Amino acid sequence: MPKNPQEFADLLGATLVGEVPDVGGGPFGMARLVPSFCFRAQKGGARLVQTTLELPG
Amino acid sequence: MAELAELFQAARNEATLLVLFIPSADREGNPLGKKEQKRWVRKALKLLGRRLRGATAFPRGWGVWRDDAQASRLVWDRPVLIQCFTNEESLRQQGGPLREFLVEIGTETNQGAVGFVIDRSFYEIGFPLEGE
Repeated sequence: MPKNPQEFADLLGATLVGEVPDVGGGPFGMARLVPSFCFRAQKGGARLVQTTLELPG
Repeated sequence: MAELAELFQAARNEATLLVLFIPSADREGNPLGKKEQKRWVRKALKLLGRRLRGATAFPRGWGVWRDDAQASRLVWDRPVLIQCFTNEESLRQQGGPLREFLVEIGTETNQGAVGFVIDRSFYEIGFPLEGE
């Protein structure tokens, strides 16, 4: 994680929500990150309950 | 890490992972449309390419949210995740344009919040409902 995570929250005008698992990069890392997806349907009211990732082919 | 960069005689050694999420639906669950989502993916890639030297978009994921504020309604989404290997100093320098993009996508596509990840830290920029 960033040396000072709050620094980037302040810099980007964002709220630091918390930590995600150490997923690394690449498609498998991204697939594991989908559950952290954060375009919430309603402010403060939505929660992810299930995800899958479709790969091409 | 620096030792590996030396071993491979690599010109760059980027140790920070930035991940952006491009939504497929607005905060009400109305789809943006594939074309519109693709437009935002392209815009994000252009920004990250110009400002942070590169990024990769992955195939659309498939997610669902339980919206407890609306009688546990399920809201479906097909987000595109974009990853960008960079470093903290570059992020500091490009914080302005990056925030501008995140606010723009959140506002124009009517999101409840825009999320992003820097390494293992998850952040969000919230957008109030109209009239709040």
